[in-house]
Amino acid sequence: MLTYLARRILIMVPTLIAISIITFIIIQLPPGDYLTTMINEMQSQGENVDQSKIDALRAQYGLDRPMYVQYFHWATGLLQGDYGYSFEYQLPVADVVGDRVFLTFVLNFATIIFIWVVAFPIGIYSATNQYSLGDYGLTFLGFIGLATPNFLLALILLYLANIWFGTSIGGMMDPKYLDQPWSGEKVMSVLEHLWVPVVVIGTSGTAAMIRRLRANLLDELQKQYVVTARAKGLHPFKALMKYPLRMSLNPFIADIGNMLPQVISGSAVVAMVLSLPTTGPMLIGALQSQDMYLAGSFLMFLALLTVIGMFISDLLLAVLDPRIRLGGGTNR
Amino acid sequence: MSLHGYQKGSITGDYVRGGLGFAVTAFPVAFAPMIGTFQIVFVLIALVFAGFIGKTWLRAQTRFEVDDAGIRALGPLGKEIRWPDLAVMDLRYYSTQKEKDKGWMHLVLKDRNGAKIAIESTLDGFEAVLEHAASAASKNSLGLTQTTTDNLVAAGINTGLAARDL
Repeated sequence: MLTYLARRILIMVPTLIAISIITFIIIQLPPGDYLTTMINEMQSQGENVDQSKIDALRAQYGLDRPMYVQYFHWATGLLQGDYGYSFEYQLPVADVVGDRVFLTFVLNFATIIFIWVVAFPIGIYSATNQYSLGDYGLTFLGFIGLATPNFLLALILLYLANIWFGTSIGGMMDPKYLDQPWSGEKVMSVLEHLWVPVVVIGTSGTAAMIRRLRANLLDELQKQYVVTARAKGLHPFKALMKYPLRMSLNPFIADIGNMLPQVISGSAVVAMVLSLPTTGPMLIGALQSQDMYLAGSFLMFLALLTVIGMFISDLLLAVLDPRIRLGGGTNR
Repeated sequence: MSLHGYQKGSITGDYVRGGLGFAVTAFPVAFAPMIGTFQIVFVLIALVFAGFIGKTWLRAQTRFEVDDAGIRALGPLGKEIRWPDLAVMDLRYYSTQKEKDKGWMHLVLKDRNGAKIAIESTLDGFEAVLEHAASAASKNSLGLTQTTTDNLVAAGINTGLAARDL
């Protein structure tokens, strides 16, 4: 396992370096920079632009230096905890992101828990009771969940939460708690507002997971070792849990790599509809305004989470199912 | 009786990988300023590579002697397992490729006294060792995991071994 661990970690190093270079090039690709965008906006509003001041700002932020110097400065800054300066907010990136990362994490983590808690029992039930009334009913619900656009469901639930429970429209807490320090009341307000985005974002994910778990489990349940286990009189619950369920979980473990960055960046559209103070809308705004260090740090952080997520899922798969696949060769 | 050692190419490759990984992680910790969290992560990864280099050195120093009586690891951590005493056989397959190509197998043998010998498929004559071990496992009626039997079949070893009862 140590050999696997070392080799797998070694792959991550060039991957992260390549991603950081590509990320930096991408955020530099649009013509001009943040200051150019700002000058154009000021000129369109009829304001005078002092060229010497612009040049001074460009020199201050290092925008007049070659791209590779800017990249090196940015990349080494990341290691030192300096994520750069947000031109739009006139603050260090770390201060701009602040509470948003925490609230995004809370929202998306709660969504993942919701998806798993709802999807797993339903998926197992649907597979073990194939073509039953319950299977058809839950499958129908699953398709509705998949087909309903998130933003529409968000608007409906927002309206119902306001009418039935008096929950304020939008946001992740009552507006009166926005600039207050964390307290019990503030936490309760977050929990009161949390269920709407969790259900909205979770519904499509739940439906998709139910379908996949059902299909994977049905494949496993039809294999010979399960038939043999049943023929030998093994208890049906043990015959289900011991191997078929474990094997059908492999695709979900492989999905951890995609899930981890979604915890931070996911649900941007729903966040906009619900006016949630999460990182998704901020990332989109940063990309639109060419706020390069804010956007770059976000993208790099997401890439890092993807690479770590892939590493964790590969490690779990190597522990749970270290089997050769037919067609794969053994290195000699 | 046959004597087996690890291929020079694989040992050299692992030294290069370990050295590269150690340099990339230990160098920034020593010479570049970084925040505490990154320092801890880099040090932990550097330790993994240091362990990997140590393990590679051990593999380079070890030879395996196999005959009908048993298997002996000759080297710094020498051990012996007699086939009649074989109690556990575990064969795993690892690959860092997405399609699970170009991976390697990892064979673990344990006897009733707790002695353990681990061998990777980069060993010269690995198939011969595997055949001996599978044959002994069959004679001793060992319960093997589904993973081990699947990997044995994939390696072309068929000794009529069945997976452990559910």
